[in-house]
Amino acid sequence: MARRTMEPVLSKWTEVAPGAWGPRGSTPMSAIAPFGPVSITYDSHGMAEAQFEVDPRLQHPMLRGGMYAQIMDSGIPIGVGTVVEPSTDGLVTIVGAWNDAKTATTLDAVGAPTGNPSSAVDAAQARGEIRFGRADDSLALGDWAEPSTTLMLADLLDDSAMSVAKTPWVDGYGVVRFEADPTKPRWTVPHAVAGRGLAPAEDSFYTHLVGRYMTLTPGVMDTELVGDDDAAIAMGRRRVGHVDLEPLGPIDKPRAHAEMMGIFALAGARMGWAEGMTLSTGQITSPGGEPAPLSLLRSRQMIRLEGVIDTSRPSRLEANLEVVMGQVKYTDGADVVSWSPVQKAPRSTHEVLAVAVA
Amino acid sequence: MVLIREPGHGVLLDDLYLMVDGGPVTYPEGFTLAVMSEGTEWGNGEPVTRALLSLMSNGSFEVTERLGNRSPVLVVEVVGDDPDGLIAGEEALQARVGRPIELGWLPPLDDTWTVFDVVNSRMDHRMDDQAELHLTRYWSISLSALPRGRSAKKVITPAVSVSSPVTIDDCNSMTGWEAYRPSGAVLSVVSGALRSTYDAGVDTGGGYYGTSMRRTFSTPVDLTGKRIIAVDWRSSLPVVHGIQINDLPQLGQARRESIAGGWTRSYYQVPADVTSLQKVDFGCIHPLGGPGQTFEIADIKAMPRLPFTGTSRQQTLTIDPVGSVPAEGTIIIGHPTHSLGSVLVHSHPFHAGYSPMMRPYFWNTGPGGNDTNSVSGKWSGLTVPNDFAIPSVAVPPGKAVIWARIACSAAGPVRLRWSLSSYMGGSPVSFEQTATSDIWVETPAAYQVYPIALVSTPPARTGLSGAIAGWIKAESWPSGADVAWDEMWLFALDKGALSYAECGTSSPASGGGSNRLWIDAPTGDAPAGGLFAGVRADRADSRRPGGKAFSHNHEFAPGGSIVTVVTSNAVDAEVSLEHYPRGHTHAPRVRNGA
Repeated sequence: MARRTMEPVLSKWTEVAPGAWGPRGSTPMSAIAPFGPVSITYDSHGMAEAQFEVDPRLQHPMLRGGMYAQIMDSGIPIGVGTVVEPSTDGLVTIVGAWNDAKTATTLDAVGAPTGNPSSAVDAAQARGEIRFGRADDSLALGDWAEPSTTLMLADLLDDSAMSVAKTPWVDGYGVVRFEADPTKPRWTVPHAVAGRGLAPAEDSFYTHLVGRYMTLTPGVMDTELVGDDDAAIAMGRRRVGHVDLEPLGPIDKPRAHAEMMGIFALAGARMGWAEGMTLSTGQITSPGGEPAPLSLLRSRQMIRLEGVIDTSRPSRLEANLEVVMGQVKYTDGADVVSWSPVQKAPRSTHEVLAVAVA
Repeated sequence: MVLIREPGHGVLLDDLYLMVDGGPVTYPEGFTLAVMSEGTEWGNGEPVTRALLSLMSNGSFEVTERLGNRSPVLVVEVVGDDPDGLIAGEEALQARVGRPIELGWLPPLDDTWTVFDVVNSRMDHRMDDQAELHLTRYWSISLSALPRGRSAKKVITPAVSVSSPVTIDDCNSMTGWEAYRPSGAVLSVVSGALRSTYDAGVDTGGGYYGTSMRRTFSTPVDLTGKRIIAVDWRSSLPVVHGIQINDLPQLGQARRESIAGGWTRSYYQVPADVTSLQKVDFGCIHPLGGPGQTFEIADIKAMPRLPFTGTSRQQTLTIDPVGSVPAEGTIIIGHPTHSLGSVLVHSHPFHAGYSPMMRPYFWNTGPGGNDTNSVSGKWSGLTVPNDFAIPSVAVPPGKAVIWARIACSAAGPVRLRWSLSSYMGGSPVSFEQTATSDIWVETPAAYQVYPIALVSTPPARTGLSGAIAGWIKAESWPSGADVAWDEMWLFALDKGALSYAECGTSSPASGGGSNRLWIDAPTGDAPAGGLFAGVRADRADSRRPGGKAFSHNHEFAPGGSIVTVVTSNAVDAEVSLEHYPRGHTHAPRVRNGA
């Protein structure tokens, strides 16, 4: 059994200087009270959720809703988020920092709507709307979208990143970067474990994408088509998805084409998956064959299922199935890790209803 | 003359004797207690096992994850002088039931009390109408206690230095030596070193030129516990050198140093299953050369692990606790005069040759020099790649974390880039683990320890000659500044445990710099364990160190574990483990008032 090494560290998120927000007074959980093993869930944007148990009768000023939490593993931070009000059964839930972006505005430093991802993140952090910031140029895409007061920061970042075939990721230090999908597997699953592979799902499978955009001539709309003709031939039919590029505002044809190619690179011409996997130590190894320490798995790493014929791309067969992990769930000290791939289609009733409500 | 002695053969419930000298105990309140043999037992801790998922076709592995509590049962007979005495006996038992207490047991013919830490208990009445007529009642006390029995007194096991290097051959005599390659090589002893004088133009077979010397031991040398062989050698031509022992494949070189006089000291890794040395072959090969070349060996030593280069601000020690089961207790680190500075404590079971310090494994470092105030004794520039190579066998497999002690001449962010791969024969043979880590330097020109990365080791499974190699450098730093490193550590975490605290560097003062640090294992009183820093040895002024301190649960197995302690501001800190000696059910016998 692995050792428990994860520990939440709580602090107050406050305006440390005018126009600058940050954590104050970090208190590790071990200085507050004994706590159960930390369960951490990652999704495509970083840590999505962390949970741990404390005595239900515990009351402590740092264990309140709204506190800033950083999950540390032997001194290295692996996720940041906000504490949700602890429930009466002693379960403390921390929601990942990316969640702040879903309700954050896209106003710039002077309060005007902006479609520039870099300025929007900087301004939202300075106002205290989000608890993460940026540290490099991966968000520098200029004035990407048409400014709008109804545009949420999460949508702006997701869509602008997708246009360059990347995804926003908030790391354990609270820094957001646009990252491309990995191209090399970080972990391997031997054939004897997962020989039958993953069940493919057609839900998000498209051979072509057609997009509608506003041209530079006022009042005139146009259409752009991208796709993989060979895949359509191999499938026996063309399956077309529709993309709405109007939020970008007036753009020219080369820009429309580039945006569509970015989206297609992330999603198109391959099927999604209908299931994930639960694996234990020894069932998942480094590419060199060494059993993987399960606490090092996180989403947006690539995992290779050895010897599984990849039938998700109709135009060619691969001898190994390589997928990018979309969701990873691990409990500190446990012997199992659960993961599901990016583009996992909703299949259980719970998942289907969740999509319907969203 | 009255002999006053400790009661023998007894059972003690908290502070109430239930049995003394194998017989009943009478109390002035009017009752007598006795323990019945039928029904009384100490129980056993139930192992919680888990089957390991494996790909085997037949059979399965299982591991014991932990022990559950044991459930002792005491059947107690209460005999009263009168009905009031019976009630007094019942009250005496009730007062000690239902709360955490200690249950003591002194076996007959023994003088060491075994103590069980009782967590909870209940008492049940057994109705016996015949006994009621004799003013006798029977009670069954069911207890829940921590699974392992312990001694009544704590002991302090000091951590001891690893044993010193042992000289296998000082190379002052030719006894047992021969130069068997090439033909015509002449062996002699010159200035305290063995020299092979040979013609570098003679083909030794297969197109190779060079020489080899062999030492055969008529009485094999004991290599138990010694995982490193160090050879001091010198050659007149640039050569590729190698060593074989007992006709096994060539040993991997762990480290190479230049020493005075043009000599090289090479350290080689001994495989874990080699316990005695019968033969050593040491030689070299090189391109075609002329006659009259020399190849010399001055010294061969064996040692448990690579000697760390250091200033005694970091130590590798062993703790061998008393008892037959793993010990948890309080690790005490102290220094008489200086605050401890940055403290890192890493405990790990013995693993052939493993030592967390990475500086001995760096074969290429940025420009630097010596620094007697640093932990490693040296400093090196970090603005260029610093390369390291660690033999795979010297690193326990699994999860590990890298920490580093770094200084930057200006405050601000420093980004480090690092890479780690498995190497065989100088070429990478695995997926490269690489990433950047950002650290924030608060105080300019002051060394600080930082956690750098979580890694999995080894990147790929290799044979004995494999190495884990990589590099680390600073990629960006405040402009105009310089970045240097003192020491780096690779702490294995699958079976190891790590604790970290900042104890300050100012003079020790209550509430200020601390020259003592206590790392407590979890107990009933402190279920999360504890980390305390202070000045007074009685812990009266101790408090939790501030900042990002944390402690894992350290456990020390009988037979020994290594503990690596870094105290950046204190030289030769004392390290000891305070614990109860524990056994499966009975406390180990400890002599001499320990």
